[in-house]
Amino acid sequence: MDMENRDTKQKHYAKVYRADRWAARFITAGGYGIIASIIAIMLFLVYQSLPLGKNASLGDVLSFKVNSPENQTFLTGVDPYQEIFYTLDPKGKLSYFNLDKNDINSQYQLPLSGEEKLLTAQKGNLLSPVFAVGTDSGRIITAEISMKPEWSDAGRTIVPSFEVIEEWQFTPENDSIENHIETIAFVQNEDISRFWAWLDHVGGLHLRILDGEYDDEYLHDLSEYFTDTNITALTISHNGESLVAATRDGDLYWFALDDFEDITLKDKWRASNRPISAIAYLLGDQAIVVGGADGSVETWFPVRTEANWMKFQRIHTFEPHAASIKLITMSSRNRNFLTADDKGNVKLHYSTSGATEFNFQPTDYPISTITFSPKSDAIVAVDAQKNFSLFPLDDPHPETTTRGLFGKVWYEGYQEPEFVWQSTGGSDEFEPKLSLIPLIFGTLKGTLYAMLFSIPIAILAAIYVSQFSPTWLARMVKPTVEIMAALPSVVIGFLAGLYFSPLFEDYLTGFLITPILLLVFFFLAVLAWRSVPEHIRAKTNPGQELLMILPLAIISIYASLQLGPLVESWFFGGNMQQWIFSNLGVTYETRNSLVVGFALGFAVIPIIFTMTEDALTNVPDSLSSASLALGASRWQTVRKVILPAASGGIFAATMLGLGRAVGETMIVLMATGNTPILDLNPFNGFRAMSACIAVEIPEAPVGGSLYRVLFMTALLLFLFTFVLNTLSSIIGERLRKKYARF
Amino acid sequence: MMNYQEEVDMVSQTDKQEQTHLDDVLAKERIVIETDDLDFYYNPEVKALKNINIRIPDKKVTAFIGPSGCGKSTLLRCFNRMNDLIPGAYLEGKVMIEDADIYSEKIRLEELRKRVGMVFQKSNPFPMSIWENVAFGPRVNGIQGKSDLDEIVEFALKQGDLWREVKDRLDSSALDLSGGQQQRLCIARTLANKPEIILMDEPASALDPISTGKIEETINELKKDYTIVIVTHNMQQAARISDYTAFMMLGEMVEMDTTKRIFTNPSVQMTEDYITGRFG
Repeated sequence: MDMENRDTKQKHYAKVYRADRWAARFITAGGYGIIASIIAIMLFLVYQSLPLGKNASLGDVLSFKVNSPENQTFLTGVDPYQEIFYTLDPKGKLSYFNLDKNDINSQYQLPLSGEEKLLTAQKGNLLSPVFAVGTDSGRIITAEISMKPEWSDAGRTIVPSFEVIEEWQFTPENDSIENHIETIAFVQNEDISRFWAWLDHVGGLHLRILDGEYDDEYLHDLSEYFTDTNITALTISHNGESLVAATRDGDLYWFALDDFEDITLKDKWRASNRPISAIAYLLGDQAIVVGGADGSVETWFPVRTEANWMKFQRIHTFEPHAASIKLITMSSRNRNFLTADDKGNVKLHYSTSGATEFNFQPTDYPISTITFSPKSDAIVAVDAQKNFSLFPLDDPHPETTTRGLFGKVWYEGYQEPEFVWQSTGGSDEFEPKLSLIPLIFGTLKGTLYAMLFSIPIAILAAIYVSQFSPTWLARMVKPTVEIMAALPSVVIGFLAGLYFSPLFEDYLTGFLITPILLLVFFFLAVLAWRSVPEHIRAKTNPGQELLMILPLAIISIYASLQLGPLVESWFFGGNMQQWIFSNLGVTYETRNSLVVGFALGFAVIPIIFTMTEDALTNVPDSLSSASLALGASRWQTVRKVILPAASGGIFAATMLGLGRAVGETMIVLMATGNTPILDLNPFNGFRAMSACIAVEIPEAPVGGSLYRVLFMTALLLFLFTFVLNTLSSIIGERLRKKYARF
Repeated sequence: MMNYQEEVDMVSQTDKQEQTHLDDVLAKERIVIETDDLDFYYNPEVKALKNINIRIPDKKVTAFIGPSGCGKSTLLRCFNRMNDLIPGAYLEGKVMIEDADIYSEKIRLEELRKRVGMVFQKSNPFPMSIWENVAFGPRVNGIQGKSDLDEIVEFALKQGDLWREVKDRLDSSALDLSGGQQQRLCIARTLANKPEIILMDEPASALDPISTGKIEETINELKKDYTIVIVTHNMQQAARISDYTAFMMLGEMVEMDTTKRIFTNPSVQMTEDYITGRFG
């Protein structure tokens, strides 16, 4: 061999090795890349849903002494940008301060006369600060605070202003007695109707209503409802429909304010054996917070009784205070509320979950007034020594506790704790219900009906095609099934939802008796076939059975659909839907679980069929030959040798189909009503996790609780399919090791 | 390359007169399998067996030898109708077992295959326990009682000369046995059906010499009770274990005679050429 030749040969081998190395690197990189991207997806889902579990926390406090001659403060508040805050002192002086410099921005004076002093004050609207004060000379002054941002070239400035809306003198019937306003509750609702309720100097309860639409004024004395003048606290719902008064005996009185002329006592009951010291309506006007003189904190809301009338019930008991509850303040954003006791201790609670999120002591002195910032991103408080403090509040997802997501929760307006998914409502006051249980249930329900339909058909078809059918038939069936798999699921969902489900409803009884009639016809056909003489039977070739069975199947389906109305009138009173409703207690929905079962099954069948067929075909012929040579029939061979040997593959196929059904989105989205109910009945729908994500993610504000809960749903779905696929691999491998060593 | 086709055709025209020796010998035997002008087609274009007339005597070992593709396995598989599994294949002529045409419509295939057992070239135990492997045949043929099956399994394993080696681990997987043991298990599995005839398709071709020796011993034992037809590539094996040998070539039966005569004094030149290794 000459040198040149050797050189070219070596060059050639070097080239081959280089190509091999690069191919190996490329493939390895690809493999690791896939694993890395799957891990990255999972980590991203975890990262997005992790904040749900974060506890509420307070940031660094901003605190200073307010420059005011009076020690007591009635009201405080801050603008949405946290640039200025205000305080109202007993002399009726409203002062705006700049938060950054602690200097007075501007000051206004309530029109008080001489020595007149404020005794009580109450904010009357969650969004715009309208407030009412009561004085020691029996006057009620209503005024409005405004802190509007204005934009100029220099940037944003908050411009405070103040306006007195109304002054009103309370004149009792017996005006010889000097009177004053002790405790006031005030609300201005969306119709600009105003409601003032107050206690006079002897503890009598009065109510004044100003109809915003007609400008009519109503005055009621509600003292007659009380045997004893021992009212301690008042609250009016923000919609102005209810007034609740609490007493020293622990009683609650519930007045309906719907009819301005005729105020009625709707209910009264004993809530506690100890005095009630504070009450407040929460956002949503359903639940009230009841604070006791013993420091107890409870929420109550009306629940429909069996007699179909509303009665308040104790829903949650929160972590108690060590001292009497003095103040209750609710957030205008969610079901959060603050309770402050006489010693200055403050707790943050969340009413839906019944959880007390944290406990803190803003200052060393008792709290005069405490409130949330407009965006509920800070708590501001002023103590009895004029110390103002602002605590940034970080509590983005109070509603998503583990119990809230996976446990039963007693939502407002419900008769008992339940699993409910209802993420959004008509108004901002809506209580989000984010239980994942109905979604998980929905996914499992859809999967169950799909698998009930698809597993038998797919596996039996695979057995037939791989073991019994003639080659020409198998050659036709396999590509057809692959086309079935290639059909976009949106098309299946669309057809199922818009075409098949109404058809199914029209021929409901027919469709329901089809499987029965099919079995009966097949059974009869087999019996008939057996009585055919042996020599004729022996002449049929494989594949010809299809020519006999196919017309039979068509005839039995046709017969079922024709017989449907007859069966319906014989057994089901002529109307299947009505019969289902009255006998099973379920409203028949057009897009129900059976329709989804068919449609989803249609999508799953190709997967299970193809993989099962492969598994069965891969069982070596030597095994079936051995079985047949031992005198086993074809069916015995399939049942005793081929099926066990292919069991690993069949199991893996089923699991993969299951994974597909769990993750399938468009079909369950389009072919169900997407109702998140917990009911296994096949005649109503469900909402699957995947469909829920698809439906709700466009509406979910980025970073909000719903957004993150949907990410968590995605994570659950991911884990679900991950576990299913892993299980299918592990168990499939075990079965293969046991039965498929050939 | 010689053109064998002409020679084969010539032989088959003359063998009728020449095989007087075989006729004499077989006259003393009971004939179990007999074919009558058997032609076999894989499809209408491929004729694998041509005009086969063979008689196989009872309780003797008959070996089929011949080069690859000569049709010896195909002929063997005609006797238990395993060829039925090949799509498109068909046969003409007759195959008689105990004077009954096994291709007639009255024959139940399962019954036939129970009577005519088969051992394959590559051992093919089921992925089950040893016990289940042996009990498979009796079970599919309707025997259910555990004690009955135990008895059959023991009998079959003893006859298959495997009992001593596996009696303590009947429940362990058959796939854990060695290759030779697996093949003897397949023989025992066939014996469990209590067949009359055992067809063996190169049963030792995939085994080492020691395992082959064991299989041959087993076959020697079995011929007391069973009619054995064996296909083999190994001339020495045929010489060692068979009583009769049939030499096949290009789908035709060139010559059949007692083994002794085939290996010492064949009547056809081509047989001698093959046996002495001039082609193959």
